[in-house]
Amino acid sequence: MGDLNEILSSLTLELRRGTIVLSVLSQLNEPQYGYTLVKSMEEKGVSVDTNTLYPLLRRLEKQEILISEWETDGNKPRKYYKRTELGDKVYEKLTMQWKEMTEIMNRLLEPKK
Amino acid sequence: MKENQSNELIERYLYDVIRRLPEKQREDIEQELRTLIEDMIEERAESGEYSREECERYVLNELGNPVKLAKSYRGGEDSLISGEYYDEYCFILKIILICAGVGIIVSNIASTVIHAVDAEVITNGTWREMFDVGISLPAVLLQIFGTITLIFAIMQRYNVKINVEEEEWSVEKLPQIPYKKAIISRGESAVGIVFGILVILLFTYRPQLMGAWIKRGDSIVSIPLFNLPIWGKVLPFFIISVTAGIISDFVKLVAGRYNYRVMITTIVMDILGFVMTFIFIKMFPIWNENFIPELQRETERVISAKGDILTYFNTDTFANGILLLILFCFLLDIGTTVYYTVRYGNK
Repeated sequence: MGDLNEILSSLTLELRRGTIVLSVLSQLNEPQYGYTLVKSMEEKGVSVDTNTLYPLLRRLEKQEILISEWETDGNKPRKYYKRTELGDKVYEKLTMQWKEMTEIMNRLLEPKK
Repeated sequence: MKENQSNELIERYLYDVIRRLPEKQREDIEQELRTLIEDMIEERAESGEYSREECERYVLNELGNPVKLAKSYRGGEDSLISGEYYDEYCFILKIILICAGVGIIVSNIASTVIHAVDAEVITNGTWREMFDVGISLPAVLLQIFGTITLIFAIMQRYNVKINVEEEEWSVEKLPQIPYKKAIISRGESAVGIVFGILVILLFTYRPQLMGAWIKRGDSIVSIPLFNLPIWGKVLPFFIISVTAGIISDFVKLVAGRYNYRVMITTIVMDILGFVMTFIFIKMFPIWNENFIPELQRETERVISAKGDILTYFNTDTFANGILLLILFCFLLDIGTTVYYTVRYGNK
């Protein structure tokens, strides 16, 4: 019984993990630099670990959902990511899926009368 | 961009992540992480409350264990051969398979064309030879593939075990970036491994090809250099000796640098290798005693001139000379390894 918190936090983590890709995709219609993406998502209440996000961005790039570009104007070179055309389609479909799922879940979770 | 020596921690962190990644991605990821770390540090330093070093430690701790970070860059899932060694694995596999494949085909063609003078050793009909290649080539290649995969898999399990033991990660545990001179080029170790395996294949499957090839009329004959009838007894010693070298090259390849583990393996394996060499050169009549007479008969030339190395063939002087040369090579290897380890091993 003592580890209710432990169980809860690992289950919450699992729930959240499923939403990361969609949250990231939602922010990348404009090119963004990884760390500002972390910050802006944090402000909106979605916390993503930096060490999860960076590898994730790269994986999505490999799947050609995102495209990246180095910007070397400032004193530090920064890599900007944004959605590709394929990414747009994926994002659109995933959003539909998400809406459908939340609807179903809400119905499921509503207290029975 | 130089920020004094406290940058050292960041460099060590980056090094520890990057070395676990496939070669192709290293530069890009390093640059990306470097900027990220700098940005995170700047953000934390803004308040002015913390020193630069405190910020560094905080940020690196937040990014967490380099092993885990590298793993998530690689795509995370455990595979038989992970990204950490995948480059070397593919590289070695490719070279050895190509060399062995070409080697087997060429040596088969050669031994069909070249007939050994010792008729008992060789040879079957051409068709039989072709049939042999068809059967043995895939089998040998498969064997090589399996062996190399197994070695890498074992190596990886072993290393993973070491990493898991260090569950509590902290900045202090970051490895030092090796001093340039302590780094062992992976190509060098790979060449050693490939060469060793090819030598074993040659000595095991086609010892008759090592000898003098002489044109006799339309055909080519080969006078074997070695005493083939007792070859079966010599071979185990020879194989152990070469395998010892291959093992020490493998350890070098994995470590990628000189350190005490590499030094000890090298010394042990070199001694083992030399003892085995000593046994088969001194204890067995490994040379073909008919080599010179047959050579004279085939070439119709008398070898007697003083200083001609062939006059010493199969004498004690000859064996000792070769042994001395081999000893020199082993000592040179031990010498350089000890020197580099003691001098740079801890840097």
